[in-house]
Amino acid sequence: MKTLAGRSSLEAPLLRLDDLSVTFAVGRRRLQAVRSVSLSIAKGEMYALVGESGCGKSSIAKTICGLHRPSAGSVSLLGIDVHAAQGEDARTLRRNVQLLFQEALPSLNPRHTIRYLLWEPLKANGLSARPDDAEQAMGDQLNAVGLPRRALDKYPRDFSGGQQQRIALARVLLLRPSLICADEPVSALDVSVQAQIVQLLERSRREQGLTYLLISHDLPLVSQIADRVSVMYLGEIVESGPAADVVSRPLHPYTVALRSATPVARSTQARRPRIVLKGEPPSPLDPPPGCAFHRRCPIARPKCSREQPPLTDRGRNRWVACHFAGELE
Amino acid sequence: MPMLGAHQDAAAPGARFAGRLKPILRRNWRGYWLLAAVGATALVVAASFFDVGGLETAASLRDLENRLLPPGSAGHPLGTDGLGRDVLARVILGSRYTFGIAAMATAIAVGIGIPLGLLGVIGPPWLRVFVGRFVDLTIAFPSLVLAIVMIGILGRGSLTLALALGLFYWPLFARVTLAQGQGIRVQQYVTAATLFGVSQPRLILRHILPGIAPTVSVVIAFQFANLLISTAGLSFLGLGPPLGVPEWGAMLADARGELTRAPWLLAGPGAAIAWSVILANLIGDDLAARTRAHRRTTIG
Repeated sequence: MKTLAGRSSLEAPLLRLDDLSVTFAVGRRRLQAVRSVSLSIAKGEMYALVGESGCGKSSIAKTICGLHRPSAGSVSLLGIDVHAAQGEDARTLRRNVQLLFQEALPSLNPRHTIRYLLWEPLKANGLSARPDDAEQAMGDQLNAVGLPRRALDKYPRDFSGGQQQRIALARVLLLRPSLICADEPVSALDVSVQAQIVQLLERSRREQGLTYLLISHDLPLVSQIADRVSVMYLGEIVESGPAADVVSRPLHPYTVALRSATPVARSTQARRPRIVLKGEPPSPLDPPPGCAFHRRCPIARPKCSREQPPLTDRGRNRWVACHFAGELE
Repeated sequence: MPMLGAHQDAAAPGARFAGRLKPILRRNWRGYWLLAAVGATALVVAASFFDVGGLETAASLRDLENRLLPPGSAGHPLGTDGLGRDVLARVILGSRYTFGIAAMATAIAVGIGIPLGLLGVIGPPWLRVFVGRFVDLTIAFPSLVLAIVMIGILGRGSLTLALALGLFYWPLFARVTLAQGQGIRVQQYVTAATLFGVSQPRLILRHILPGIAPTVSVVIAFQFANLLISTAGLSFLGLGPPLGVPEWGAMLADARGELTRAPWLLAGPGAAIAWSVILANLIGDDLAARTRAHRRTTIG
């Protein structure tokens, strides 16, 4: 069994993934989207998962929210197994873990007013005893995300992309969850709007003691707001550690390549040689032997195609799964 | 959802209702004609149901002295039939039966088809497959023939006819609900509602039904026209309401016997059937056009 990737807090973790695997049936074949991932997130933490499309990061978020069932391993939130919970436990969990979608508009039914869309989850979770209380709370929450109270009477299409994401966030925050899985919450937005949404996420974390699992592929963003980060490749964690450290001094060649794909302003930082990965990521239907990354790795050696490197402790909370970690600068 | 409705009404009394009415009233000249035609027809149907001006008496009063009077005769604008009954009164009263039976049959078909389709939409995958196959199987049978067999067993009558038609015309509604509902079911807002723990009834009432309503209402209009023809057709064959009831199809059958002596007897019920079917189709077209317009404004 792999060890937990990093621990920053002494208290019991809010969220814990133990050897989580998620498998989908594709025709007769089995696609392993997540391969025995273990991690734990402490209360109040902003934990980021990064990696390219199809690496399994969204599958993890959806599994945590209960949209997929794990094929092996378990997810526990507040000490309760998410996929075994029944009755009262299941209800508590459902309110406590919320998913923020990448695009807000498709998650808001176009036929309903914002008032109804915000009220429905409250009603479903037994949180709106009296209509007037709900009205007050919904208005306050809209104000908190920077929208006027009169937005309640409008429809989702009356708002811009950034405002729609604010509404989606308000809807989730109204439930006072413990954990929000934010699946690329800003990548569909303009850069100027991204910053505003990021600020809102930050503030809600600070003020409400919220915990975030942030799914992203934006390393600069992650180093700026996340506490810890795990880098995923083909369903596995290949590197994890404190976000700022991992982004500034990546040890795994894949993380190095990811970082070098981000444009850097010339004046602020020395230019790094750009590493362009060859080819497409391998198909999760047919994972390569040995290290999953070896066919695209600039420093791959014969050993890499034979032996799969385990996720090992490199000190200072850094964990890397590479035979030759730190060799690529 | 009473709470929000009540609140909104308090905030802007009447504004909500006016908002709902606006898209119906904002029309082009063709729309106004359609609205007028629907209104006039509705008045006639209402008159037939409430027996306005002694319609029932006028329609059944036999005057053997004045049989087969041509249209334009004094007191009988559309003439009289083979038993000397007033044709105009019978055509107007006939709408009670033809419209009534077709409407009831449509209601039965909708009442079976839509819930069954919804079951397939929200149920587990095997149920979806089962409903789909069941619909295919039912469509494979000739529904009109089955309706005739059923009437043969149960005996003729207005209710039997409505039941027989309704019981064999539901598959279209089930199929449309299934197909459209599945499209809605995979929308992200339905996933979101599921994650929030929204109850199954609310999910159907607030997300799935409003989503399929535009398409289903178009299908209802066209299927009503279909069922109206079937009603008249089966009555024409003597499988409808009892003898003497002025159902339009039955009137056509009566008129056929007098074809050589009084061919104009076909005109009244024939025109009534044609008018109703065309009207139902125009309503269907109008609803379809509005669905398209709605799509344009919501997705663009």
